[in-house]
Amino acid sequence: MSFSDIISPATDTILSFLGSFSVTIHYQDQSPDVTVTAITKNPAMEEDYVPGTANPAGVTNLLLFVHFLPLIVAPRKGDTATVNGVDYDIWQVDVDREGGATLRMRRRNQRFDQ
Amino acid sequence: MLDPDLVLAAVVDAFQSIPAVVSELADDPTNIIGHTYTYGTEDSIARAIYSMRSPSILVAYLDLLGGNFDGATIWKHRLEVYLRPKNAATGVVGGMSGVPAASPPHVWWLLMNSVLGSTFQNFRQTSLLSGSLMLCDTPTLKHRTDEQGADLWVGQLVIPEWGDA
Repeated sequence: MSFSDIISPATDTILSFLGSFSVTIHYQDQSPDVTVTAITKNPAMEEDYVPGTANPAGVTNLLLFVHFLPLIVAPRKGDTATVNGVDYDIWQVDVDREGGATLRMRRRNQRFDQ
Repeated sequence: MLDPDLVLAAVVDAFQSIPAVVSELADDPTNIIGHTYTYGTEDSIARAIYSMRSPSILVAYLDLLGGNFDGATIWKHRLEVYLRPKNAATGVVGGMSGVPAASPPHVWWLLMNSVLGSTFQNFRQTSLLSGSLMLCDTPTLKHRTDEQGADLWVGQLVIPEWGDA
């Protein structure tokens, strides 16, 4: 059994236990929105509030780990996302070799559809 | 010797008066922010840059340079302008039928070449604070990489003070 075969259930297992956020991805090509479970990762700097809060002074930078492989339309740079009603730009997608990905997101000053 | 906070406010006000720039900033002039160094309540400049939302412009006062530069100029005010543009993949400028958002270098070009408010002069042709500041030295635009590895464009301004205003 290859390493990939052994590790393939890991992402879903980890997300089912530790996933603390739902993130809705809005695609730039108008594909239907998708909502997935995500885990926050440590950013380069920590900010004043808990990630995902709608506080006006809440975090700007959000790094979310998601299961990338099952998504019919893969997120890509320039897509937008919503977490707890707060909108973000996805400015980078870091895909690992086993089907997971980290979405690097920056908070928007406008709603996702504007 | 002009108050640095006054110089910062004058630059921010000037930028906020440029309609083409405000259009690139989600039609909201308050997305152009002056960074103040209020101990206890303000983020450090590094954290403020890191926490800039999109789109926004952060203007920070960096140095008050003193010296006998040319016999008449003894103070120079140095500021930096950090540019976080709008997401060009989804955001448009000028309504639903508008154009894609501009790149940071283009936003800098707009800042330096667009007329201010109701005047007929751009930022480089204008003496701010009723002439207490002279025309700015030739501005510079630089590329940097931020803490997350993303591109960050920074404009640099040096504005001489007229005598000891």
